[in-house]
Amino acid sequence: MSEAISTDELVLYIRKIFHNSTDLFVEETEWRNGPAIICYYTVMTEANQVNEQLELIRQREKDNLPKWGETATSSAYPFSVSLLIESVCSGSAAIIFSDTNVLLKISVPKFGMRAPNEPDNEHVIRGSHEGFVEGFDTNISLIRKRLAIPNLVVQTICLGEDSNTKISYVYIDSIADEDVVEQLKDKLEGIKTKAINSSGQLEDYLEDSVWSPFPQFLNTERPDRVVPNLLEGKIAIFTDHTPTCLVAPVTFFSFYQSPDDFNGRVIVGSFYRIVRLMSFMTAIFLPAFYIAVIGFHSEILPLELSKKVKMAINEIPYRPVVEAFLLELFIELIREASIRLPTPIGQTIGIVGGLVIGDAIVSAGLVSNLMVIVVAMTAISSFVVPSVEMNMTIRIIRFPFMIAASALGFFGIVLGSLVLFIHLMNLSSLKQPYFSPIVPFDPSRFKNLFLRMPYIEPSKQQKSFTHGDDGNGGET
Amino acid sequence: MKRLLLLLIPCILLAGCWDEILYKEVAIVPLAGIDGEPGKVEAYYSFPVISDGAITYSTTEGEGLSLRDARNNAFAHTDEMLDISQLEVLLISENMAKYDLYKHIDVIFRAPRNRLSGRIAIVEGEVSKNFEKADTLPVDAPDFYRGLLETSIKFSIIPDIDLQQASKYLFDEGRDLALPTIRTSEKTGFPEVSGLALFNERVFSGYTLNLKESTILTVLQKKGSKKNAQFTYRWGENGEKYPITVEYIRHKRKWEITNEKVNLTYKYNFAVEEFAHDHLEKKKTVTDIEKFLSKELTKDFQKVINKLQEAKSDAIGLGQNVRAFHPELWKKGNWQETFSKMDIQVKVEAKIARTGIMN
Amino acid sequence: MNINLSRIQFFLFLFVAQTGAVFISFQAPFIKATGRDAWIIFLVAGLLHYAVLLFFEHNYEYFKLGPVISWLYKGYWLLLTVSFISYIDYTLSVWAFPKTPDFVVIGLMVSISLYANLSRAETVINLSVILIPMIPLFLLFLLLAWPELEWTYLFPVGKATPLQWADGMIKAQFAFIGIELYLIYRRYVDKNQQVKGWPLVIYQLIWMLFFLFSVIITLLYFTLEEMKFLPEPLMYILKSQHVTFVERLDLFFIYIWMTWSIVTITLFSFTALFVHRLHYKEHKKRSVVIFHILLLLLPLLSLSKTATEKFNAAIIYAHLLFAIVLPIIIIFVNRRKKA
Repeated sequence: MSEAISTDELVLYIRKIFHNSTDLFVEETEWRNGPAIICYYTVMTEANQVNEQLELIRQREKDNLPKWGETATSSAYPFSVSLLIESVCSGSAAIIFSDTNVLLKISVPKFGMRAPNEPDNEHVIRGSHEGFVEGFDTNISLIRKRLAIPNLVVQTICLGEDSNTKISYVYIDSIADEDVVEQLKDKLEGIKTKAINSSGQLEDYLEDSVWSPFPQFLNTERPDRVVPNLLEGKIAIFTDHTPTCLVAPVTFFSFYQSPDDFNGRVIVGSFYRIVRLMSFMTAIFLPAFYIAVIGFHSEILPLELSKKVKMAINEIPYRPVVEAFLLELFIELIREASIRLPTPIGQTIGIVGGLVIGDAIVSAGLVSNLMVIVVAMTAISSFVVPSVEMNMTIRIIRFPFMIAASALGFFGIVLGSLVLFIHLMNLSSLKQPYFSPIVPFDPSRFKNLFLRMPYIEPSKQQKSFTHGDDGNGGET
Repeated sequence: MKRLLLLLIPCILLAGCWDEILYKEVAIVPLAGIDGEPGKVEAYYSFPVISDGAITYSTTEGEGLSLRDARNNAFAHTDEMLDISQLEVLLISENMAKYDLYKHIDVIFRAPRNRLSGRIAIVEGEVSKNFEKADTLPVDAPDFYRGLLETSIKFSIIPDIDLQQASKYLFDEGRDLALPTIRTSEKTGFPEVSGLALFNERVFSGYTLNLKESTILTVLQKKGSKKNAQFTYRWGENGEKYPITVEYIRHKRKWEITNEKVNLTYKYNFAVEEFAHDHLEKKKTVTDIEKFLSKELTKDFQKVINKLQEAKSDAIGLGQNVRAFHPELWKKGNWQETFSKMDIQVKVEAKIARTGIMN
Repeated sequence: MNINLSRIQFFLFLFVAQTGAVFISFQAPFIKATGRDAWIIFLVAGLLHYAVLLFFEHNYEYFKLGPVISWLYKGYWLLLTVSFISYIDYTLSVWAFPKTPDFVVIGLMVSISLYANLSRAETVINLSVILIPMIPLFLLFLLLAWPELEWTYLFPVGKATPLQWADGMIKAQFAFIGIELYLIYRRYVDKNQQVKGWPLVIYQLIWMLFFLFSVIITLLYFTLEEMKFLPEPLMYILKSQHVTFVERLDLFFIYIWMTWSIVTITLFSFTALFVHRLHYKEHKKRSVVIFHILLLLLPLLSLSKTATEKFNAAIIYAHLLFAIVLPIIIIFVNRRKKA
């Protein structure tokens, strides 16, 4: 920028850069050595604070301090237009001294921010009720206050040409595996995209198998769930303006653990953890099992039950698999409808859908009452999982099992479970085995899957698919 | 990997359902009956019919060269597929049992779908009667017959034998089968358990035991529950008679088998169930009763054994031990023949171990 | 490709491979051949098994496969797998799927093996874990037959003729099938973990108890007369058990056995392909696919009952050659070379 440009022209020029946006504040002000320009977005910067800071800086200049521009909230840079844009857009105030070519950046941002309330999708009974919010600083502070150690490292990278979203990953340096951190960094840097809107989108870029139904990142909005994971050497990934934090590398079984396990008593926690793992079985296999029994293996029913079943299904016009699909889709409809609606209406829909239509559909003879029991049991079991992501997964994968059962009976279910099992063993989360400790098989760690042991003993993340190998895993 | 998964799913879909047997299309048969003679088998099937949300049982019958052939012929006049995979009770007529039993029921063991935990019983007279009267029973016919047999088993009146064990004893040379018999009561017109039919190898010998004798046989047998077995006798003192009922608690058994003679000693501990005379605190009364019971029981047990020998039916299972430990005796020839000619003495020692909550 | 196994992975792999396809078909011909002394003969055969294991443990380092010999082994494993598949398919079609076309059942089973073999090696190595909850369940339900076991069926003892002993020893070899895998994988076991001594004894005991239990329970449950016409006695025992909550236990167990067998097929296919890869590093995927196409086509040629039985009988002699004779020769030749 040449010296010839007057301050007025500069003001006009800045207005032009920001397309004369009405929320832009650009004014000339007097400074000791000449004019300066103040520039900020009124909606994103606290004007009073800017004034206070300016007072302070003027005072420092008067006192002839060598670095009068540098305070806790401000710093001086050589002027450049791109820097100006970046600072103003991120909510800082820019003070431009055109004659010395200095840009003074004062960060006193003002955003609308929710209080860190408990997330609606992950309730616990006992324990902390804090949740992440849509701001980066608050989120990191929620973690930092729980882990008062210098080893907690926060790294930030900006992604998306248009959105310029800040992605931060947090890990504990002494515990987390360097290779995994390096790998995540490479993956993040490799992302080429216009915009990153949410953590879900980021998950797609980072996942090893995007087409797998299983989530390879643990989604959570609870700081008390992230912290134990960090202590186990995992990495937490925050997307700015999203309350959801991604935790990786995870194993399948982490999805079945809830902070409640550790807040409650040992036996209670263990019991409910086992109940949850069993619910995985019922949620996936129950409708398929029912279809197989009705379609292929009716001889396994004891006589007393057999008569009742016979009575229930004798007048149903459809094949069991059609019946099951009808009811499953119906339940999915109720679920989907009640999520989008405000709570009072949502509950009404639930009751009307569940009770009224459920009853009517049986008396109309479209589905048998046993099928209603089976589908309701399945739905409830799928909601037991403490992770919304895994819940969806389970709801989806039972459909292939139903089809397999209707085609081949138990044989179909067995083949399906083998495929599922092999798939789970193949999966990796950030190249670390997803189905550990089953692959590589290590019986000594099984107790931690099914039981909640008396204290949290942070166990290290399994690194490789091969036994005893400390290599970088992952490669087939 | 994903492509493979995608390939697999339509593969299963296309695979179709060759072996599907929709449950609503089959009529389960929990009660079946066989009558007739070889080459002309009559089979009776009782199957549930659902109308207006209630189950009633209907009967169909078929005739053919074999049990399976009879069923196939029965299809001609049934609207659903008869499926004996859930068979609870199989009734066999006395006449039919006089021919090689296994020949008729082979199909039950051979078909993979069948369960083998059902019961099997011999009917006195014609089987068809039992099916004609099925409607008049207080509960559904299959439940009634099963209940009938299971109550008797619970009180050790008949041994606990299901289809699988029945076939096992048909093939075991050292032990013969004894199947419960069912007859129509003259008083009520309902079927009732009347005792046991004794088999000689695979054929019904024609000899039957009454209820008391069959309880004794159950208690004599090597294996099986003897719980709740009760014996009632009338005991006399000073010219007055008092009924005494004792219940089996546990026993010790000693079989002395030599090439000529068999001595069976059974020591029983009993609990007194009823005894109007009371005063069991007196040692003398107790020993008197014990002696009395030992004598009476020995007599009755011996009668049962004599009857078994007459029927040439080793339903106790002596032959199993003989085969295992006394090869010389075993090799004498057909065990049933040897058994019927042997000198078998039984001795019962009764002991009152509990007197109930009164003395 | 390099793999590294923990001790427990190694033994689990071996156990599943050895029991997989034979454990429900093994008892009937064995008892038929030996009579009431089956359990004694099996005890002796078990000792032989331990002797073989010990020999292998001491000499596994000398067992190196050249390209030619490895082709022979690949052929043997292919035959073995094919015979397993045709037996499984026959049994399934008798017990559960009388009307489903054979190629569908075989195709589905083979495609599972294909999927596993196209995955990373660790997937196949750990695949057996799926069976861990099933094996105890299987044994537990067999024990339900306890009240119906007749112990006098074990007696009289010691009546087997030398001919029966010889025949029994041959028939007992069914339980040995897969022992050659010990030689193949032993060198990949974690060097820091001890295999010699107790771990090997424990493996031998588990193997022995498993088969001995199945032999004894079959002997005690059935009369010898019945054994002659029951090809799958264990399934028959389960079939006749009465449990309150569900009937037809055998139906569940035929599927447990099927899972077991599919895993076994996968393990043997993996071994054949693993050995292949030692000498031919390129076209990894192609050889996997070709092997599985063979697995799909060959069993279709031998599907009748008699063919399956003949095939099974012949496998025993192939097993003796490849699992006992050939390894001994190879080991001695290599030892001499070294010396």
